[in-house]
Amino acid sequence: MTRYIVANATDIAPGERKIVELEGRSVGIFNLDGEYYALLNRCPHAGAPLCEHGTVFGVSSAESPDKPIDYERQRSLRCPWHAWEFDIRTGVSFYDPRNARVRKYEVDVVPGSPQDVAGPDGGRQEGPLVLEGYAVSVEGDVVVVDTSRRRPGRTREQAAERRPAATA
Amino acid sequence: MTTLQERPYTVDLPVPRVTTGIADVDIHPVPPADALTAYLPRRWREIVREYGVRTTNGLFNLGEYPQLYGGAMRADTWPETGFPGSDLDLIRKQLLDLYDVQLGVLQCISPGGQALNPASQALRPELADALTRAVNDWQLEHLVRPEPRLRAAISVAFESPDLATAEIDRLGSHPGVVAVLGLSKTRDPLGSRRYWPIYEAMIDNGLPMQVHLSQGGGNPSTGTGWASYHTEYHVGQVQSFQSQLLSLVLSGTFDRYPELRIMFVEGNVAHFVPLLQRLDYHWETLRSEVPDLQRKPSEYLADHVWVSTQPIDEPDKPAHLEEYIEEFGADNVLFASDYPHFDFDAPNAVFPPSFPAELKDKILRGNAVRFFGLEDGA
Repeated sequence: MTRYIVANATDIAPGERKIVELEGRSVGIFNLDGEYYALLNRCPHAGAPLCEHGTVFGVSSAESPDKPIDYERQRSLRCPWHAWEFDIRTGVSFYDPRNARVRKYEVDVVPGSPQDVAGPDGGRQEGPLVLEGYAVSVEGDVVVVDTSRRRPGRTREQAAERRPAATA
Repeated sequence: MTTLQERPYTVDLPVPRVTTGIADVDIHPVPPADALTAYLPRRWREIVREYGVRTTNGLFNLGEYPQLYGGAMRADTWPETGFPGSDLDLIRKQLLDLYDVQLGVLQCISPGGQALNPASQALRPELADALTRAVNDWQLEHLVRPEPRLRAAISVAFESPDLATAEIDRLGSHPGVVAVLGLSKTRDPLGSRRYWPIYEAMIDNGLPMQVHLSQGGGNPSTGTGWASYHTEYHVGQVQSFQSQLLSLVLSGTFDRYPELRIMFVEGNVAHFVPLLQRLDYHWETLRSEVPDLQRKPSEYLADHVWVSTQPIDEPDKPAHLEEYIEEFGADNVLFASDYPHFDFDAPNAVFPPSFPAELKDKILRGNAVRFFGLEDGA
């Protein structure tokens, strides 16, 4: 598990976002009224900088015409190109949920101090800021993004088993 | 004020060559605030300031349909000040340099900052003439001269062909001009004889026409009235392109002007195919109505009609895109980005991975040679 400290909690005010680079990928971290979400900063449709320039909107729906419209605020991230929308919590496209998905990252706010440095064997990667090794003194909370895979990858053998057998 | 008319063309621009890079036929510059003032005679400056510019939509900062949030602009194209498309450095960075655009065609459709309200649609013909001249002089001096990868499709007072032809003759031989900007919504269909002098002037100057999506013209935005929704307009606007194509073919305009080259810009590709098939069929059965038409309708396409890709058709099965384009005519489709509008297409993302490299090469560069009359860059 690789967790990166990306900001002090106070650096990303409610309604704001921060773009960081983790493992060569651009990632956007959003603070929506104290809830944090992180998505890959790249739209799966045409490659636009989704998090950097996307707009956070609500989602509206109704059971049928003239029925009350339910509105869930701050639920959708709308791409700066072509206006494709994604669930900001999951990265799933509202338009094409089966085929279009933005990579989602887990975000935590943990006690820590950005002034601390990691121990050389701490097992944590250095991010834009560095997570302290022991959390002895808490001077402030930090926002941590987890870049580990949500599903373990398949081994070569497992992948081969899943492939249909070659036909003669 | 120094107009281009009074100045010999000191700009020594080479003929654009599209070799390793690409051609993008749809870029929308916006004059920065007050940029046109220097190019407008004082009389018209005061008219604009005191009364505004009236089009059939109303005053020129109004559209004829509900506009998308953010001015329908790509959200990452806003410069620090002014409208998207008003900052040359940003156009270079986000488009020309990034995608190696060797020929980028400017289509200025926004004297007031709002998209799709071209200067050419000002209802007062003399004001349309003054505004279009100002737009043309401004873009040649401030965009084409410092950045020769950009060339202009010049605006003209389209509904007053006497004024339009004078402007085409004034600038037609300027090396920064590669086309005349036409509109998808005109007062009469484009085959109407009132527009023929414009086509004659274009041909005299060796220029094609890029008919871009527009509002205005005085007719409703759909065949049955006005659109209530942005989406309705955005999807339904191709109806006017269809009517323009039918009119150009059936009026015999292409027979009268064998050198006429017209490209429909921002009108998609796929829907033209069944339209032309239907037209061929009914022409066969009703041909006594237009017995002087020299060719089967669809046969005019290869020599006279081009289309641009944006907004690209995105069928569920990517292979169908190739079929749409092949059926329309692989030699008559050009790439367009529509920078800086929200439905911008990036040349590296717009074609599915399975799209044939040879066809992509034609759309991105090869087909521009014949449409613009460029020397073959190969």
